Amino acid sequence: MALWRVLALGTALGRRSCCSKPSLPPDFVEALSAVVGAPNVSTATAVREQHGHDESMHPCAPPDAVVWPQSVGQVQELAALCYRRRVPMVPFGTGTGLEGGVNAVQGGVCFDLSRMDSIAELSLEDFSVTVEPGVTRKALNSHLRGTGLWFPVDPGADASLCGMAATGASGTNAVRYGTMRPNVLNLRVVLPDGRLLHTAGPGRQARKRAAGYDLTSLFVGSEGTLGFLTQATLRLHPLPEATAATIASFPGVGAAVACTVQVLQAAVPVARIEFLDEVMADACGRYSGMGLPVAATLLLELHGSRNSLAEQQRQTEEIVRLNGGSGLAWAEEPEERGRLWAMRHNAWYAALALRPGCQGYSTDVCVPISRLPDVVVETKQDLQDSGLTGPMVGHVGDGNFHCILIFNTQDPEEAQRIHAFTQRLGRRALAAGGTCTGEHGVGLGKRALLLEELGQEGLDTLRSIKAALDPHNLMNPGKVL
Amino acid sequence: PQETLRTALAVGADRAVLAEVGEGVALGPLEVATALAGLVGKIQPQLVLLGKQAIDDDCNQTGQLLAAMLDWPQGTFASRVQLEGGSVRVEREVDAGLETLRLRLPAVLTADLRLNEPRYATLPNIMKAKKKPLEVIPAADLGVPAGPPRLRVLQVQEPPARAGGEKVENVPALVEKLRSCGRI
Repeated sequence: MALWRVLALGTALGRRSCCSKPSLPPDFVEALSAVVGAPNVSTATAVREQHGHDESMHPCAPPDAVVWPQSVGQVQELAALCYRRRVPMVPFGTGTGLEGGVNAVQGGVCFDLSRMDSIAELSLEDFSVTVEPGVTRKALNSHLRGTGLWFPVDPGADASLCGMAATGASGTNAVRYGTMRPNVLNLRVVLPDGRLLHTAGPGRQARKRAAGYDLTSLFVGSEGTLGFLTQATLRLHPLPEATAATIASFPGVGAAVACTVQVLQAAVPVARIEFLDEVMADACGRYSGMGLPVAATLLLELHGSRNSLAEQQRQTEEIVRLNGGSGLAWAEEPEERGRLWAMRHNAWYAALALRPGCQGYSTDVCVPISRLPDVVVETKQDLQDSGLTGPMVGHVGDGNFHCILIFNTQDPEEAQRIHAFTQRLGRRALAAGGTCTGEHGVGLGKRALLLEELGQEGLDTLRSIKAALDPHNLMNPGKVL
Repeated sequence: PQETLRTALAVGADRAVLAEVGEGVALGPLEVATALAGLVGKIQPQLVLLGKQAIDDDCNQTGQLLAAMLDWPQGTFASRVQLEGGSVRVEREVDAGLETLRLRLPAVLTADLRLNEPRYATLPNIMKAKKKPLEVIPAADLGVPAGPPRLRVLQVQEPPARAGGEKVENVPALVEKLRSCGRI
């Protein structure tokens, strides 16, 4: 679906070009200015275009206006205003999503929430903190320096934490610390009509609760379609006392993935376990000048106390050797570990460097660990049969992997092959009992696969919930459902 | 201030000293260097490591003043430090590039950003830090004069806010605008 739009092979409904003129009545724009002040409203083309796309390949769909509220009260007033006049609303954090979540396919007002950036209610005993949308994950961890706590969810971009809550984001640490969902304790939501909702009750952050339907979990991953996440209360974790990371190369993809499965089954509490196929390993090695062997590779990181770390290292070494792995030099100093993970985090750019002048598109399926070896091997075979450049990188500890497809946007035949490949991959993951999107979200491009994944009843239930909270379909229309 | 010292203890220091000044007493680089010189007299270290430039006053003077007071060699803007027996090898970040010096100990060094990656304090270390020794000494005991500071801040102001740009219709209008704001 996504690639059709990319290549303009058809005109989808509601598709807006980057040069469309804003179509809001002037008195409405004045009303917006009355709430936030004229400097905090913009209808300038450049500003609207900036807010009409994220890091995905979906074409830019600018909103009709962009507003910068400075407080939750202003968000409420603006929402109530848009609701009364039936104007679509699109929440915007850092614009670093990968599924077109901020593209204003039906126009409307983009709420850029980045000016609301307070960090409050940090509790070192309760391991919790409250942040507004302008706070990014790196900014929070910087703020927490010296407290002995950290927030471990680390998607590639330095994303807004509330944005991460909205997309149910995940990162390299999810295998041990969880994705956003278990780490969000409470959300302060502005509903489409302007009412304020605290999903776990105002000012509460119980570590566990059985009080009514789990509204917090409902809004996590709602991708801006149910309301504005204007504040999130997050669960913090203690920094590990000792950390060690390493790279291991394997004779084949199957061996690397089997090793992952065994490490998990041996209950080694591995903190990060990332997979690179041989194409990716070669690309990353060359891009960062580190010279990796051209082979299926695992990057592992272990956290623990000095003693438990040594035991984890022993267990891991044994399992790696059992699977024909080699090259286990442990990096313990932060500088060395930093270099290793920077090499991994640059995977996207390393892949793009394989074919200069081309664009990238990342798939995002997640399957049960038991099916991971088969699905990965089949996918690699499919890539070769289709003649596509698609280095693989993945959070294999969760059964989640990405093919970074590098393709020439000017070549329609290649685009067709890519489109067919991604459909097959999505369906392969669904057939293996997995999901079409492990962490990036549904956004614009995966709505058809969502139906196949959940079934009609599932989708109808989602629609009922959407209709109950947003009967006029004003919140980020055209996404998810 | 005690919290800052406890964080340093949590990151690996063995003991801390707080040189306390009275309420409202202004401290410039000269006063800080004097206090440190007094402390050096008490503790007799082989190496004094300072930051190169404080983020409040941006002076970049304390390390240099201290070295002069003690008559010790100085290696400022250090991006790499290596101990070698009775001396220290220092790589300095200077405008022309990297300068490498060998200084006889005892010496004063000031740290550049590139020197290392600051460690994070972990909870167990934070708890252990509570037990590490933290001594409080009045600054006067270290020789810091109680008199008025030699520097007085007259004024601090923000730069003027950026005004929005303006579009004009044609070249004559542009020339008129430039003339009216005195640019030509």
